[in-house]
Amino acid sequence: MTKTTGFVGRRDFLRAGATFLTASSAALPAALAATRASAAPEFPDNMLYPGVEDEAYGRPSPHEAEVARKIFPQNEKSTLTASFTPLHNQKGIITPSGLHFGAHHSGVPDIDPETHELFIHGMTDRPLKFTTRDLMRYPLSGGINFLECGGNSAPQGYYPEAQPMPLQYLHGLVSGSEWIGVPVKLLLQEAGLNPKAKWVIAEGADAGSLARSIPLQKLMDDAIIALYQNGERLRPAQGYPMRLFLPGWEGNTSIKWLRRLEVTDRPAYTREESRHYSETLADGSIEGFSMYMGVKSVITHPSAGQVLPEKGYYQVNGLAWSGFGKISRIEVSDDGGKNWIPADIEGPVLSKSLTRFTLPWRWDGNPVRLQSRAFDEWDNVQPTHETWKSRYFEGSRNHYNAIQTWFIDAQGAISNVF
Amino acid sequence: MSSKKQMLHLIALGLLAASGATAEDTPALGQTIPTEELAGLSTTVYPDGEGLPPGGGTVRQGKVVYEDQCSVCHGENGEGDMSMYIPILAGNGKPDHGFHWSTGYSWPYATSIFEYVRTAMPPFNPKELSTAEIYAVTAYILHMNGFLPEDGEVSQSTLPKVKMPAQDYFSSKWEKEESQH
Repeated sequence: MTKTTGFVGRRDFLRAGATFLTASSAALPAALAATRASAAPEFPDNMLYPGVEDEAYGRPSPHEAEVARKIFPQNEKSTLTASFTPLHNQKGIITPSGLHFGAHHSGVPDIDPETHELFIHGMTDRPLKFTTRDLMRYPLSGGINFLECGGNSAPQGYYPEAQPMPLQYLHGLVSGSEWIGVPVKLLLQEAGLNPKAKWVIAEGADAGSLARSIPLQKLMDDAIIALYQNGERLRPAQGYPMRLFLPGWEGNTSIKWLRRLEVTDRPAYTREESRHYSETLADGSIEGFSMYMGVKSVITHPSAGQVLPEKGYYQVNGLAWSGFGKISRIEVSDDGGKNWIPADIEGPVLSKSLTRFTLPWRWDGNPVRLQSRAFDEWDNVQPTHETWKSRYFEGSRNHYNAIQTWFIDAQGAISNVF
Repeated sequence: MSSKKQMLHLIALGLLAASGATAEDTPALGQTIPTEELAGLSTTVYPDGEGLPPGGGTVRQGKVVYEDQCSVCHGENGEGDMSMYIPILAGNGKPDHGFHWSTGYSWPYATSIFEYVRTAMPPFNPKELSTAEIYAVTAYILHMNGFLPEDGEVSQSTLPKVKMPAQDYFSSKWEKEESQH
């Protein structure tokens, strides 16, 4: 039988089940024996002594202390920081709030919800302001969505050569949460829109008054003033007490610490949309207002920064998402893209949300190029690195959504390659 | 509700139905922003100059502000340092790199410089510069790019008229993608 890939198809899996089980159970007896040797005569301390009192606000186990964000710090000249989510530790479509990525241009402000107000003014019938308490009384809605920085995966776009970086630094500026808040359209309708209104300038209450021009169309669609993330009020680093949340759009447009919505008929060309979050196209022209985050996926296990200890069975795990809607299909290749095998989609498939995929895989110990590619319901396809690069000028680094290739060498070391 | 208001309300409901949205009951807790509070609320400046305060400044005055407030990070000639995320302010033309672009040759509108300096610069001490200082340092940044002479100046009326080169090569992806959805 000639086998072109190491992926275990459903039918193959059943047929080869005995082999798989044998391989698994072969590893078990030693572990069991060790446990029995110590457990038979006496119990471990945790079974002999009552544990500590629970905490009012729980924390992860101290044994999981290495599961943390990596922080790109402020320096004495720049206030820009980034916090990278440890995607290699994440299984599932929700990122714990304390591990959610952050990109802050002027630090994380401490805002008193009792004094903070949201102003809606400009081309409205009435200029209105709302307190945080006011907003808590409005009908709330929202959902589970990804949020991705326009600069996620920037090293892949920026450098001509693939950088020896782990998954966390390469793609850790994306996270998933349940976001609940007040539909922006309810507040805009209350203020009354001038029929000529077309854009809204959204501004934060941070030291740099970070602002973006947002098409009114999005705000009248699925935009919310988010008050809750993953069941609790927003964390300060996510915009407490309120942030704009625009599902599927470039993270920078979901203005944190939202203070002001100025209704207008044209964009302001703020600093963020003039340069920082715009791209240089192959012909040297600049493209701004790139709102949608393109269809994308990445294998989180195995991934750069990890090592495969031995050949044999591994479950390939990954995440896929699209700013346009639902993920429709994810495929995985272990031969550099010659053969693509459909991955199993695990759990809910939600619009503009992280979507989890898995595939059983057997590594034969030879060097392989492991990749995933995602498709969305609008038939958008994740491009190859070469295709992506061909659209942009050398060094342009935002909105990188190309297929990630992990190279696994004969020793099981995993690295980032193009 | 007056009959005119009632009619407008019905029209609004009709529009909502047409756009697929549903009219929902809300507590309608918004308070009208008092006129005096509204006056100083917006710091937004538009490419056509709306939002610019009265005033102006010269390149020469701006050099003093720049050397006092900006050059320690952005460099004597606005060269920046992208390794420390300090943007390049001035360039000699359309550069040959996709990320190392200068403000002068990538921002399509000079009004954006005024707005950004006013709200966010210098980063550890923002919102401290006077209107005159902001106009002046904006003029100096334009001068470093070669868009204003050494004896040049900008004001509320002239700043929107400064033609930035990127106006010829800056496009909006939103306008292209909007038609898809």
